[in-house]
Amino acid sequence: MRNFIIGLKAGASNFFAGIAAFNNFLLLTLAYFFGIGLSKLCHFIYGVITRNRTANKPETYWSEIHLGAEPSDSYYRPF
Amino acid sequence: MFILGISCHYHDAAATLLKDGKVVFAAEEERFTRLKHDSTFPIHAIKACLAESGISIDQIDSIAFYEKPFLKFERIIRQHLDFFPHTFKTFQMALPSWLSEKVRVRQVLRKKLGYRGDVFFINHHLSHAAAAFLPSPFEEAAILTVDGVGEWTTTSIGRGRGTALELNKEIRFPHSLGLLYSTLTAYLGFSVNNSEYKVMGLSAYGLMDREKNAWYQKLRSVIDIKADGSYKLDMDYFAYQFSDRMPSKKLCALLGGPIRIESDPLDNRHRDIAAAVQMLTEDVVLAMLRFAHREIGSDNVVLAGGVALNSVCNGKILAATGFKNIWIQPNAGDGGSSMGAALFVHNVILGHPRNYVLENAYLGPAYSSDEVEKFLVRSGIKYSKFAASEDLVSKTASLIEADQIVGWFQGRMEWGPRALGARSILSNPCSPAMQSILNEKVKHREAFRPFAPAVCAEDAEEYFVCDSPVPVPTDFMLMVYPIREKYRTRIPAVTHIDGSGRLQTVRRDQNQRYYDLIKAVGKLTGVPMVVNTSFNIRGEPIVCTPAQAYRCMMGTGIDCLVMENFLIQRTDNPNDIWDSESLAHD
Repeated sequence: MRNFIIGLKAGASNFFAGIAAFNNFLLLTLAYFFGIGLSKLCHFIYGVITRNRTANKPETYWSEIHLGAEPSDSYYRPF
Repeated sequence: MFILGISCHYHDAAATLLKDGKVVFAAEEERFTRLKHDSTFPIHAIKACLAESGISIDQIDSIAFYEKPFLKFERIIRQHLDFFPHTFKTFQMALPSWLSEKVRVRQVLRKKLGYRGDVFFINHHLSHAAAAFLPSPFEEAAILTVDGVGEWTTTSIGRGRGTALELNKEIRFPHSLGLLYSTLTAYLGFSVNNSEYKVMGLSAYGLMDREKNAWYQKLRSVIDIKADGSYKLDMDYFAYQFSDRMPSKKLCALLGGPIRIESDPLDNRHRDIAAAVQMLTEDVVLAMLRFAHREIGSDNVVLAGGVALNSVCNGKILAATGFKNIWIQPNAGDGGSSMGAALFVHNVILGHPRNYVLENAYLGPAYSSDEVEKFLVRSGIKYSKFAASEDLVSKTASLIEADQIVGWFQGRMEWGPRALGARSILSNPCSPAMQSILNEKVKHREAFRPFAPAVCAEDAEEYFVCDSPVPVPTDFMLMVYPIREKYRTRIPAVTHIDGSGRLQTVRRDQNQRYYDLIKAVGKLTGVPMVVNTSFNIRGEPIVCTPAQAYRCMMGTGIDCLVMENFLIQRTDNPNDIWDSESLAHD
């Protein structure tokens, strides 16, 4: 009986893990093609260049930033 | 005031606890979970932090997280947008963990720790910069951070002065020196984010000549390097920006063959490619540092990020860049950012003065002699007890002189990837066979891998052609220097193929017993030096507890284990002998 319950639990766990993986796959596929894909299409239609592939040769590849002490509120944000 | 710093979710998860601005405990999660480079939320490391200080999570005033997760997520989504539909597979692989955990740091802290207090999010490279500068001995310094990628930044230059810290130049993803090195690591058949140091070790076997190494000339077409050290990669040679494979087909074509399979033998082409990428890395890092020296105008420099663990490059910095002093913390990679984030909160955000200098790497858990003895008795292990430290040191030195391999488990565990005399395997550097014995029978790893020499700080210049005075990062085994020619045949076990050695210097005020042992070995062999390698086998994290140390010894060719005041001989415990070779893999 004990083995049966253990087996049942393991089987159920695997079954629901499989269902979850399938659902994830389905939802992520939809998100990928309708979210990322449509955005890409809009970018293409409106001529927005997302990838920087310019051929110019600047004197330096350093970009200026000023990353340091900021108001403490900004550090509460995860963005 | 207690501040907990956390880094996790990519590689080398770690936790650091500050008490009133001083680091009281720091450790990586892998040491507790036994999964090398474990990236999961460091719950075990955090619990160890709290246990060590005897506090509960409610007594933590603030938590510092080492990056801004939404900025990183933005970069991930942008990559998928740029490379749609080629990123479908990586989207499926990566998104679940992002949505369930990586962007929900506050919820994870609440769920796993029950923590509801302040959480600060510090930019990834700012955490690196803070980890490099704030625990350094310098009042002001130039800062260089170089790694694979943080949120968007891959390389940055800045300045630290007192408690002020600013990064003012950056190079952004996908252009990344760290990822260039990792791509070549993958091409050479080694694991990424794990085996970059193997490429560094292998490079010494290749042609380290920029004119004659044909692969160096070819790889120069992959990267455009400006005089100020800034650089841009030709992304047609890389696939990491849209795939889980790093080198592109074009790079394979450039390098004259497909990606090496790990089981394939290494040939001269592989060795020369390793040398080429090492020279290229040095070109860029040294050019950036020369530029930083001119721009910042300081004599001091601190480095952080995974590339700062490239000890071959580090050994050339002072001679080639104009800086007079260098400091690199022992855990310069992402793990060390937990310390940087915590110190940034204490010193920069909360404005407390700096009151901590990281003088040694012994920041992890310790086990007292009583605890060790209880373990030995409980496990029925035969051992000898030494009441006086001098007797133990003298006995251990005689074992090393007799070419025995000694497991050395003393005091608090090291912070960072290097074993520095707390969880080390020690042996005789004068033994010609020792390198191959250690590689084959103890570490179960590739024959080309070198071993590090540990010497007392005042003896370093006798044996090495090193900077004078010897820079502090040598205490953390972060600099490679040429061994003086007259000693190379005398210490074959630590002399790499190119005559160099990854030096560890030991000061008595950092680790008295280890220092005394090296001196005692010197009295017996005439060379005050030991071979020091990490106490683990290939693919396994460094041991943390007495049980792990004992098990590692019994599964390998280690002859004896010196654990606090106890000496355990392998041959005295024949029933516990097993073979760890089948477990040794990356």
